Amino acid sequence: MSEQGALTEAAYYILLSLLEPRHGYGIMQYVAEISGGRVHLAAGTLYGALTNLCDRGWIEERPGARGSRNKREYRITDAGREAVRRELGRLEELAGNGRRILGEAQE
Amino acid sequence: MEKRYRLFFDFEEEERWINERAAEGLLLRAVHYPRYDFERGEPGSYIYRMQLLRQGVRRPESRRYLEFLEEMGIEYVDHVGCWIYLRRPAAEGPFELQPDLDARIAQVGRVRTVMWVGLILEIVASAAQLPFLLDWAFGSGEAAWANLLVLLFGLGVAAAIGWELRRLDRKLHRMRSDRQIGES
Repeated sequence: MSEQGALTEAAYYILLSLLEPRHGYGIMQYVAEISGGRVHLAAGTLYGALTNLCDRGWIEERPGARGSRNKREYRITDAGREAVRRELGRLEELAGNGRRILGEAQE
Repeated sequence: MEKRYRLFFDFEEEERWINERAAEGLLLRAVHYPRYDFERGEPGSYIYRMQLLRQGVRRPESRRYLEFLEEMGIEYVDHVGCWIYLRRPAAEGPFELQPDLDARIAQVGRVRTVMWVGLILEIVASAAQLPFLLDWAFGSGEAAWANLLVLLFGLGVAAAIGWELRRLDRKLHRMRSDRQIGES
């Protein structure tokens, strides 16, 4: 049984976006893009999530890399990769049950 | 530079007032409580937000946060204690700092704590006037008008804080029950 609780939408999307190194603004743009404009990460939320994910060891600041215009860059760690895979499994369970039960209810 | 004087208890009301001024072309540049300094600019060109930091602005954690905000195109305007005033050009779209409930609940919680400290201090300051007033009332002391004024003023402020605290508690309760359902 997995000990990991549900991730927030922000945490899930941030982990996915950091499979490639990005800085804060880049994460925000990428997440807005992949969510079709639905998810806009607010600066405060993003900072809190990045700090939290760093504390958990799921992401790290890329050492020495300050990217263009001196912005701090982040990337996912192996533990983070594992966490986002587990979360995907949880979401698939939710979606699968939803489709099945709602499908049955319509019959 | 245009100066306005206002006393706010409620940060949401304060933020709204600052944005109303910005819509009129008065852009906030500095805050020296209770004075707000504005400069004339393009009406509606900036959106302002306020946030209560956990620590003062000069602490390393706060500095890192402000640096991060700068990277995100958010400009630091000024601070009063742990409250920071921020702004972003309106042309970059809607500006929200922390729409998620957990962060907003935490902030309301911190505001409540500060208000409780204020309330207790006011009550203590008012209570400190009692010995003088009792001496006066029972004839053995000098006329203690100043003490009476301090007591009444203190009680007035305490009542205002108490009223605001009740409002915050109700808000916190609503937010916590919303949190049972979703993140924002």
